[in-house]
Amino acid sequence: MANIIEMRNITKAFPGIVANDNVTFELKKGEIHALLGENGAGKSTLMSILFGMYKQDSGTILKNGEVIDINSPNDANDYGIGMVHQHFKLVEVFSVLDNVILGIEETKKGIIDRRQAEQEILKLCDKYSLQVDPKAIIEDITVGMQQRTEILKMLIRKNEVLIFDEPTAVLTPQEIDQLMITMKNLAKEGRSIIFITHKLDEIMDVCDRVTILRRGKLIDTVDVKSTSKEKLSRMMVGRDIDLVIDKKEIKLGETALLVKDLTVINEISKKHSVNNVSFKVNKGEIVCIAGIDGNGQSELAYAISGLIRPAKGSVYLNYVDVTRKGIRFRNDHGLSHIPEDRHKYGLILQENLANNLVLKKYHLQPFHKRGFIQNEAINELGEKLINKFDIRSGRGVKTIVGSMSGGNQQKTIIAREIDKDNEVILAVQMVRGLDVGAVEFSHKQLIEQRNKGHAILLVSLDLDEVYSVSDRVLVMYKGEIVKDSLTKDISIEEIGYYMAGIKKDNVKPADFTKEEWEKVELLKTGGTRDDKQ
Amino acid sequence: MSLEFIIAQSLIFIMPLLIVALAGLYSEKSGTVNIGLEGMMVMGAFAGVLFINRMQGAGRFANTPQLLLIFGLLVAAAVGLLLSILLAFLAIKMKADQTIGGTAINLLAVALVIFLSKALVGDTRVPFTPVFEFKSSFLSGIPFLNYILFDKAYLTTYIVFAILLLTVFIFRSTKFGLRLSACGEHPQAAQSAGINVIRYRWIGVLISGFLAGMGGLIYVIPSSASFDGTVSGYGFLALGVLIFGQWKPVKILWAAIFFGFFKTLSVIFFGISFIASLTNMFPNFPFAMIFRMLPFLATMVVLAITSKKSRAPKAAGIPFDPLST
Amino acid sequence: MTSNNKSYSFREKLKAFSQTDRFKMIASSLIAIFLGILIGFIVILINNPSVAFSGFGRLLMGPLNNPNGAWIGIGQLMYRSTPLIFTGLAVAVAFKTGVFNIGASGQYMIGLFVASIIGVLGDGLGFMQWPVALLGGALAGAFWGAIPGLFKAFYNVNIVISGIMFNYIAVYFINGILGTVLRRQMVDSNNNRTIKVDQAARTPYAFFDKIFPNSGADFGFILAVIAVIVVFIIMNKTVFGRELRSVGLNKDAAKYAGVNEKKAIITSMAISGSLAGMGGALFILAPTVFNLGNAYALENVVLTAGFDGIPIALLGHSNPIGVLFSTLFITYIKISNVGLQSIGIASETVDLIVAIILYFSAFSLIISQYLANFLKNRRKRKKELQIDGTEVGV
Repeated sequence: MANIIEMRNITKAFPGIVANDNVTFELKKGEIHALLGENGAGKSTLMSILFGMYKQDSGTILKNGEVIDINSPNDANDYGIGMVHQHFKLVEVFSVLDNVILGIEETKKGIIDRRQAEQEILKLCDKYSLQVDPKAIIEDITVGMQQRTEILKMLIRKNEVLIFDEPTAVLTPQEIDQLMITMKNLAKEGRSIIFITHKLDEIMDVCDRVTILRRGKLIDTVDVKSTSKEKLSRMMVGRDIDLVIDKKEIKLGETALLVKDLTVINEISKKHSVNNVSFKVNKGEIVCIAGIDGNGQSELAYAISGLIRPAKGSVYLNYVDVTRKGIRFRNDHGLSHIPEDRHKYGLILQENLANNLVLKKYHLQPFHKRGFIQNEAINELGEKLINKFDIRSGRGVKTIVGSMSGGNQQKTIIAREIDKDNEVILAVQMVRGLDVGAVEFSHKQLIEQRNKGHAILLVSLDLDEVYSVSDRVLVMYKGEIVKDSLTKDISIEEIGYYMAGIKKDNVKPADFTKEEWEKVELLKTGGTRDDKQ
Repeated sequence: MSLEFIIAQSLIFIMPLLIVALAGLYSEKSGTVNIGLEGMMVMGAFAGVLFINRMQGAGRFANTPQLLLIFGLLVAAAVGLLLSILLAFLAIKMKADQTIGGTAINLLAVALVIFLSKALVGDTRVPFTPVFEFKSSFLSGIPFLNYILFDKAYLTTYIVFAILLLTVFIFRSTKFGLRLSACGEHPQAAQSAGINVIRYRWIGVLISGFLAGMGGLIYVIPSSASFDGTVSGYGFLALGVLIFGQWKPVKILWAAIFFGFFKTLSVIFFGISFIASLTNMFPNFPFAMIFRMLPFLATMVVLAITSKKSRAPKAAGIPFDPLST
Repeated sequence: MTSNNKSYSFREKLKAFSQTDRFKMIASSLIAIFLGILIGFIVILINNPSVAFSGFGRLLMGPLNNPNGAWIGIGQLMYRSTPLIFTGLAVAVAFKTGVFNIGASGQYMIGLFVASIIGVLGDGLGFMQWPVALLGGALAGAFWGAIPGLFKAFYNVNIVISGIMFNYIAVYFINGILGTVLRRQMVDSNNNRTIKVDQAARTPYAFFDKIFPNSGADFGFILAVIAVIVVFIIMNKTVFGRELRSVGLNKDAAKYAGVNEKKAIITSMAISGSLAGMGGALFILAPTVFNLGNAYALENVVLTAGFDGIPIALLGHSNPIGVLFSTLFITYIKISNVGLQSIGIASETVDLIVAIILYFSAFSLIISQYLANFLKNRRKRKKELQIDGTEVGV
């Protein structure tokens, strides 16, 4: 088989980083070729160059042996190259059909011929067994169907080279299987597929060859048949990673967090993103909420933190009903929150490190005196945390957080939240986008907190993380808890079934014991409680 | 106070609101918030009225007033378009804050108009001879319709209506409309589909300047015999109409009718016998004030009701960076 | 050797300073001003070429050309700046909270209106008439400013549109009341303007009439400077001010940190409105009578003082001290108006220049925004290409 695409000696640098360093990549016609690497390895950049979104600093691209010049997605398209992005490029208010034809609309006397387009789309769906409703509006359909829309965009443009950028992150195990079948069909038909991923199972399952990148450099290109997951993992990371973290047995303490009958209704769509969810987290355990993105975990986390108002139900922190209380109350009465969206919620990027580290404490003594900011105390805290958590920054406490790396930004958030010494830590997608070192650090911190007797609620999309870090796992599907199990009592495959909605337990809703309810009453009437400040 | 009079009056207020709201529509659907509609209206009105004033002064178009009107509209539109270039440059090329840019344009337009008015006409008031009413008896058999459509009618009403129909068609059925909307909803998706987002956004703003400029003249022509340097907040009322109309051309029509009605009320209220008698009973009560405030108060109420679920074009107001993925 | 080190460190310091944000802000404002004046000069050149250069000279000399002497001109500068410092502060405070208070004009007018009423009808208050009138103006402005804030906080109504709507509502309301209910008491029918306020309601001269006689300068200017200092302290040194600013920088993170966003917007708008209202009050309560004095003309026109606060705030980068300087600058060239008129140059030229400066100062925001975007893109690209813990050099 000849090489349909060759990328030779590609180098691309951004200010301060060499994203691709003299990388050579070859794609044979009709093969499924994986591009493997960690976050930051350079795989997305390389493919962005192929798709015309960036231009390489040096190096050449060849198609079928001829040098080609790609300056925009249009050019890439003209050369038959298409891409399904990680974050879909779909207009939410348009129909599937309008999204597919956008840019290549056929018109009859000035009017878009939607009928003909629909015919074409249905023909393609038939040919490739893709299930899609052309008239459906994007914001109403499943992620799987959205992805199929993206695939249709490529097919209708008769792209021969199809690039898939981390396509399985948002799919259920079943949808993943379906996608693998589709890819195999496309390859059989003569199309050539590049599959960007860091999921080793999928590579072993469906790919012919793998190219491994690390830190911008090409490590190797191997046949899948002649390698193994362990070998690939080693090449990807450069060392053996410990997939299992050492956790000691801890005796469970009292119920630090109780969520009871919680329901969150989406204002615009009126859907129940969270539907009657009840569970608890005790002191000394890490509970992980697993599930495919979009099944209500985000909303659940926001409701617990106070960023969203639930329609029904209650949240108890240390036996205090905080449901109607504001965010500051929760912050000050036992809840730390490492948010899903670091830049949106977790940090004020324009402010410096010290101000971000004191973000949840500046209204407390000694950081203010009678309303006036005490900068000395704030800087002191900043210095202390930088040292304790080894946060790397250009100018110490004065560093503008926006200029720090993602890993150090996350360290800042973690440092701040742990320093509050709250009994409950809510961490959502904590290690997304972080490199292995930062991931190790974050998990270590969580386990330390758990060992200290704090309660951790971790929301994660990464089954490996779920499995290695948590003591107990709750699976969420379509806004409900469908499984509650000790991690050691359930396999990853099982968790997958629950995530996909294939299996569903009738989980007994968690509740306080009689003694615990008495405690709640006592606290309501102003009874004793260990106060912290 | 007859019904046909009220309707005819209402049309005078509705049409400028409608076309300027459509101007805002083109801009926002393509991704640029246009706060500068008021300024574009003012400049367009000034240029158009000045043109008519000069032409009438030179005795041209004496027998073809409608033709004069058409040329006047084109002049007004052209000037509005020129002003919108400033906004497009600021918002699209320089990626500046669009609200501030729009405000800058408003202040600029007002200052410029006063300056030019004094320089070219010697006064802040630019007069013209109001000869544009149709005054035809085409449908004399049906006096009610004839009054509204052919007697007290203006060419501008029909032009605005035609533009409305054109707009509906453009956004529903044409390539251009689909692509323009994509640029305002998800420009990255449009870009990766091969669409030149920057170009479409420029076009969106330029069209909005064109229509807003025209709208300025359309505001002046039926309602007075001179242009006094202001359009009384119509550019902003049009924004309210746009939001109330949820960025959909047909809903914008209803919204414009809603507001046009209140505006009409504020000038004819004394003609309504019931209210006239009230005014006589309480001579010191500020009835006029209440009616003048009504369009603005009504706008606030409507906005309060509709803004929660407001579905503006998703990327409107966010500068587009071609390098962002 | 030592002297070399000294100058080296000075140059170093200068170079370091030129990298700071503050320098970039000042530089960009100066650039906007320069461009505005340049274009203004070109306009004059085109329009009245014969007097262009002397016109430009008068523009630059501004109040210093006062017929009674430059010193008096400075007094005039202080007098005319006072209301604008307040409206500039009003817009600046709102900007810092992330809100564009385009309704400052309406708040200014309402403050003026209430102060005027107390000033004319409140003779029973004795010596308290002035403070009460001033306070009344401030509270009225606070109220008028809080309204768009409430609409935004509770109904998510675009604050720019509400601000504009309430500007017009203010005009019609004020003219309506003055034109009917209070017509007899408040309006001089000869010129359709409000009656001058009682003597006891006028701002005291303090010592200004001794130092700058007949220039109009009065204690109001001191109040303006005090306001600048107070706003500076509140916004930068207090927890309250920090919370407002955090809402302006990142309202989601502020919410996450426990700040009540609704309360922040409403309070900020109320403060902003009270500042604008005070500006209006001080305008009408000024003790000096120039021509028709500081009276309000009953026309259906939104007074521009509030809008002038916008370019002032932008040029000053919403920093209170910056507002002070940019007000002085803009007032300075506005005073040139009279000087220009007397040699035949249209008075609107200066308005034009100010508008052009505003247009370019929207750019000056850009230069700092360009920087922010650049940092953000750098961060974004770095995010996509996650490199471990080490920070890339600044």
